[in-house]
Parts: sequence; C-alpha cells; structure tokens
Amino acid sequence: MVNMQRNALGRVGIACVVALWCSPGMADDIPVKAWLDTDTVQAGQPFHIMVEMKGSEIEGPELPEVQGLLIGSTPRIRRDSWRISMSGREHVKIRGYRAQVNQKGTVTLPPIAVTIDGRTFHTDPITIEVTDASPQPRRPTPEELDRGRPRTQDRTRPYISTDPITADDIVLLEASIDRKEAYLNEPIILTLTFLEVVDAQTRVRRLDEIMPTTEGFYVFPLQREHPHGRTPLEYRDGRRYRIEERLRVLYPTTTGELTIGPWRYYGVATIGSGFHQERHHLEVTTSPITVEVRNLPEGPSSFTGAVGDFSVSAHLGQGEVVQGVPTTLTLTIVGQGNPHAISRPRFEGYDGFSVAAPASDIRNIPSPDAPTFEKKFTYAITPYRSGDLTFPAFEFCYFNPEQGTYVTETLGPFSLSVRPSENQEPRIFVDSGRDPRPAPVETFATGMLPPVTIDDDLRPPSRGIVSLATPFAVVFPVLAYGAFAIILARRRKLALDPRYARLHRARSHSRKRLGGLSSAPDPASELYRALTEYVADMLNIDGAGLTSADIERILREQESEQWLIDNYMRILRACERARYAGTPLSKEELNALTHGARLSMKEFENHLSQRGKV
Amino acid sequence: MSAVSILVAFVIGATAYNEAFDQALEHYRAGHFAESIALYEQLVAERVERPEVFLNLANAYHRNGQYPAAIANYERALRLDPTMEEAQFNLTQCVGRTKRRLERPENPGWESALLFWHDTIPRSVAHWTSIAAWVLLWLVLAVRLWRPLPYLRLAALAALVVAVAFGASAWIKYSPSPLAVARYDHTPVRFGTSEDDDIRFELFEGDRVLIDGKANGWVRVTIADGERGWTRLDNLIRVGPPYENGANDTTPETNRRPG
Repeated sequence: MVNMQRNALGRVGIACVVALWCSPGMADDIPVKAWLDTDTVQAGQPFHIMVEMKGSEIEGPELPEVQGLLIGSTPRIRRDSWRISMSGREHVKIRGYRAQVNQKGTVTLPPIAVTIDGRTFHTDPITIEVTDASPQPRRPTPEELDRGRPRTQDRTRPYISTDPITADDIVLLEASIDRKEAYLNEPIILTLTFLEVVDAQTRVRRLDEIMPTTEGFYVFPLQREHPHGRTPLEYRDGRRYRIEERLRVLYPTTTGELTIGPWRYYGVATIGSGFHQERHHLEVTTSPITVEVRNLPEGPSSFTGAVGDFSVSAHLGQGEVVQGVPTTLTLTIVGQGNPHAISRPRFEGYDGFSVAAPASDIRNIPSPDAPTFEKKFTYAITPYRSGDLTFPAFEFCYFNPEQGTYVTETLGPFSLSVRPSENQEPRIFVDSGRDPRPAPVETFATGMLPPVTIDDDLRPPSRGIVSLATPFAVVFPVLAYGAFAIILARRRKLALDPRYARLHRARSHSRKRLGGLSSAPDPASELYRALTEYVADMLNIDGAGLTSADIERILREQESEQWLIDNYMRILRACERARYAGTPLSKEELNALTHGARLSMKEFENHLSQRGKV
Repeated sequence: MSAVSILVAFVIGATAYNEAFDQALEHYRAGHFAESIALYEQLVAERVERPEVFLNLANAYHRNGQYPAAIANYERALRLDPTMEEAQFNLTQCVGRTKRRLERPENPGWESALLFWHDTIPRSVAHWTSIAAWVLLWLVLAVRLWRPLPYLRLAALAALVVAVAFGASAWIKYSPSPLAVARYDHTPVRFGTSEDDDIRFELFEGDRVLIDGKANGWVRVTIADGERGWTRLDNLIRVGPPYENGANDTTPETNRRPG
C-alpha cells in the first residue's frame, strides 16, 4: 500500500516536471525579439539592429522602411546555433543589421515580422532616441602612427588599438592617382592598395574582386618589388595590416572627363575562435576617380605621337658599305610615356638611298618609381649610288607635359662612304621611309594589353629537320661513344699485345711490300722477305734469318696442305736462285711469283683461321 | 640573282607569313576582328606556332566577344612561352568575364611536386637544355674513358641529372595534360557516355577542364574543384596541339539546357 502511494506520488512528480518544462515560461515562448547593440545612438554614427529568431523553419525577418532610419539590406552579423528540446531540434538565429540615423530626435522602429514554422510573429517596437554626435576622440594622424603613438608612451612602438575588431576594420581598399589633370597620352600612375588586417583571431577569405574599369585609358601594369621580398606591414588606426600594392600606368586616349571605376572586394571574415565566432560578409568599395584629360596643343609637323619625357639618339650600323648593300639606322627613344603611341619619324630630302619600313622593338626598363621604356626603330637604308653620301638630319618631336611644350630634337646628318658595286644590274628598292602613318592608339575598355608585333621571320619550322634532329641528337652521342670505346680498346690492345699487333700488321706489311716490288732494287730479296716475315708475323715468331727450309718446317708444323707448302717452296727457291745465281727475275716471272705469293698468303691465312689460330 | 640582290631582298622583303601577320594586326587595329581572326587562324593552320600569333589571335577573339576561343588561345600562347606577361594578364581579364571564373584545373600532384621549377621555362629551352646535357654526358664519359681525370664522374652525374630533369620537363611540355575550354553555356556533364545518363553538373562558356579519358566521341573531364563527368568532345575547344579552330560557335542540340 505504501509502495503504491509512493509510485503514484512519483508519477505525479514526473508529470509536474514535464509540464513545467514544456510550459511557455520554460520553453521561452517568445520566438522573436529585437534590440539595439548600443545604449546610445548618435546622429550619423552606425549601430546594429539585432534580431533573434527561434524555430525549425524560419523565414525573414522583413525589415520595415522607416523615414530617417537607414537599414542595411544584408545582415553584417550572423550567429547560428541549434539546440534539442522536447519539441525537437530548434534553430536559434541572430542577425545584426547595420543602421544609421542622420538627425537628432526620436525614431520608432515598428515591429519586425518573422515567419516561423508557418506562423508570423512580430517583435516589439523599439523607440530610438538619437542624440547629437559627440566629438569623436581624435584619431592618430598617419605621421603620428608612423612615429608610434601615443606621444606619452614609448615612441619606438606604434599605437596599438585595444578595441575589438569590427567588420569595417578587416579589409581596406585605397585607390589613388598621381594627378587629376593630364594631357592626352600623358602617363598617370594608378595605385591600388589592398590592406588586410593581421590578427590571430581574424580569418579572411576572398570571394571575388572586381578591378576598376579604365575605359578610355591604355593600361600597362607595373611591377614593384618589395625590399627583401617581404609583404610590407603597416599600422592604420592602431591595427596592423598586410599591404598589397598594385600599380597601373594609365595613358588617356581620349580627351574630356574620364572615370576610373570603383574597385570592389567581396569576402567572408570570421572573427573569434572556438564557439565564439562571428562571421561577416565583407563588401568594400572605393569611390570612382575622375581625371580631366586635356587635348595637346597644335604641334609641329614632325610630331608623331610621343608624349612624355624622352631622350633620343640615332646611329648608323656601318659607316662604310658597298653600293646596294643595306646598313641600319637605329633610332632609340628612352623615357616615360606610352611607347605604343610613338610612330616612326618622318625622313625627308634624302637622295641616293632607299629606306625600308623600320622594325620596332619595345623594352620595359625596370624602374621602381616611374614606368620607363625604350623604343627602337631600326631602318634598313640601302645606298644605290657610290661615293661619300650624307643621309640628312631628321627631327624627332615629342610633347613634354611637365613643360606643356613641344620639344624637337634634331638627329644627324649621317655620313656614309659607299664603294661601287661590281654588279650593275638594275635593282628595285621598296621605299617606305617617307610616309609614316601615325600608330593608332587603342582604347581598352577591357583593360587588355595590346597585340604584339613580330620582326623576325615567321616561316614555320621545317618539321623534317626538327623531328629528325632530336632522335639524331639522342642516338648519335651513344653511337659515337661506342665507336670511340672500340677504337680506344683496339689501340690499347695493339700497344699491349705484341701477338695481336703483329697479326694485325702482317697483312698490311706484306701487301705493301708486294706492291712495291717493281720499284725495289732487289725484287727477289724483297719478295723473299715479304713471304718469310708474313709467316713469322702471323705465328708471332722471330722472322730474322728464316730460310726456305725453316718455312717448310713451320708450314708442316702448322699442318698446311702439301700444295700450299709446294707453292711456298717454289716461290722461295725461285727467289733464292735469283739472289745467289746473279740472274735477276724477268718482269713476267716477277708478276707470276707476286701473284702466287698473294694467293699463298691468303690460303695460309685461311688455313690458320680454320685452325683457330687467328 | 646576285648575292647582293638576295641580301637586299632578304632585308627589305617580308615573307608571306609576316605579311599575313601584319595584315591581321592592321585589321585588329581597325576593329575588324573577324578578318583578323581569319588571318591568324590561317597562320596557325599553316603551322606557324608562335606565342605571339596565339596571343594576337586570342586578343582578337577576346575583343570579338568569343571568350572560350580567346581563353584557349591564351593558354596556347602560355604553353609555348610561360613567361609571356601579356598573355597572362589578358587571360586573367578574359577569365574574369566568364560566368564562374573557374581556376585552371591543376596538373597531377606528382608533376607539381617533381617539376615545381619548370613552370616558367619555355619548352624549347627545356628541350635543347636536355639535349645539350645529354651530349655533354657522353662527351664526359668519352673523356673519362680516354683519360680518367678527377671530378669527371661527378660531372657526368650532374649532366645526367640535368638531362633527365629537363628531358622530363620537355616531355611534359610537349605532351601536356589535355586542357580544354567549354564552348557553350549550360554544357551538360553527365555520369556516363550516354544522353540518357543523369547530368552531374554543367559547364559554362570559358570554363577550363582537364580531359582524362575518351570513349566514342565523349570525354571525361575534371574541373578545378575535382568534379568529374562525361561530355561530348564537340562541346570543348582543346588547347592542343593539334590546334583546332575555335571559331565554330554553333550550339548543338545536345547542349541546350534540359527542362
């Protein structure tokens, strides 16, 4: 009975606990609320309207439009968490919208509607009391920051802010130009500076970046190298930033007011660590920049489009040539200005020459401060008369925007000694030096770099030769090495192995001797020695003093066939007879004996070869 | 013709290829991009494979609004001369005008790890350096055979390493991973090589893909984030070689967006 009462009491207790937990108070039944992130709102100062929503499926909030209250359309602060309750999984969503009131007074934010799980809830209205903007604490000037702030503290250390980082501090963009007014084609340097805060608790991811549009400008990127290759750091408003600087040289190609568009950056930043992270969507934009472009004043006829500060020189390739053979005249223009806008200068009053269209070449000269180029025009100048000729002086004119005047440089005249050519055939020369067309300057709405020119021969490569060259270059060294190794090994064997060396020499020596018989003073003795030394060399025995009887014995020891021995003996004895009897061999006899000796030596070599002795 | 006349003709006269190049440049400067493209494509068809030609062709396509062909030709120029700043800059600009601005798919991991140094070396430099080191290797070996001087073994080893490294670099540069560029928007990439297979994802005009398989007119492609699937070869402009004409912009029926 007591147990039953205890069970009943327990069940009632559990039911009460469950009922309490599920009651509106425990479940926090207001799923939507709104508040401001600050107690005091000042005119012109931004603040955040925070909205908290709880539920499974949340739609909204729908922000009302209020006269005098500016509210951002996308939340700058996002916090999300999930919790499990008796009613299931619940999403707690907090969004912070940047807002600003520009005038002092009272503004009421009406209820904000949010749809949660199919039902619409409203927040309580918020009355915002806006006060006058109080004087802001003075921010350190850049000079003070560079020296290190504040003055009362250690001057060697920069001022470091202790305020928490806000989304506005994370990424900064700066776009600036070195002049607001310029002449047509005058170089303007656009500096784009990207600053990203360096902070252990802040992580930034770049989603997108839209570079400023430069319609009406010819654009050239500049490289600036940082000392020691490190990315520079800089303090701004007490925070440390990593700096990326991009430089562009802009050459205005039309007159009037030109606009450099805004530079836009989109990214995501996470501030904090662990469970206390805030995620911010970043959208940073620079203001557009306008440039007033003036037209150039009326210029002399020798002006061909160069605007900037230049130094000019010209020289001839050779001072002495043969009639009809071209030499080169090189005009070099070095300076700061758009090289693509510079056309070749006009040549006038030259007689006795043919001038071909020049090849032009542009080179960027690395310079950390100002874009410097070198443009060369190389003309092929062909004299078609002989004698001491003079190529006349010509003018190169450019507009100097700093001085606002045209500067004309005179180059030449150039003396050339021309020797007459032996070939007097008439020749046709293509002369294109008199009518230079001004180089058109492109307007790049796209910010593209222009096409390039080619001065060398564009003929496609001969594939046959190229395709053979590589296998040849791969195989040839291996074969050459193999041949060299064989030759070297043979030479070493000849030097170290006398038997091999004599065997190798036997044939060539005997052949040489037999070939010189007709002119020898004693052909019979020479033939005799050729045969005996051949046998001695082949068998590596001492050849001095060998008689016909010795040869017969040796041939028998080598198991030569009888007819071969007989042949050898017949020749040797004929030679002995001629030597000792004093009757020289007739020409016919000598020929017959020589022929027989050759056959016998060949047969003897075959015989030794069959026996494996050579 | 005398030697002097030949010399004069050589200096003054330009080859037909140079004339075509100059004409194409003139058309470009006058804003006649279609004519410029036709002339440059003719040069490419004639096997004038120079980075300058591909750069100018790409610029003409770029200015004509044909971004896939422009991207393919910038890539071709960069394959021939990886240090060409104009091509790098304009490629970035051109990719910035595509819908998704996808990165170039990365080369296989082993290639990036072993040949991290060769990106900025033109392929002809890699080729001839390898050949020179190879010839030097056998020359050193021959000298060593003749007279074994000190350090020759070390020199031969160094030459071998250079020859192999640059040879591998040249090999990869001559037969690079087959890159291609999507010609059309909403190009379906499917799970298999049939029109009945489900669509896995879509490519957009100018997206760059790596081709890593082929079957019956279909190719398996991988994009920068590693997604992979099958699409018809006609939907892509291969960066090559061989260099196909990128001017064809007729949209085949199969590329229309489903549904």
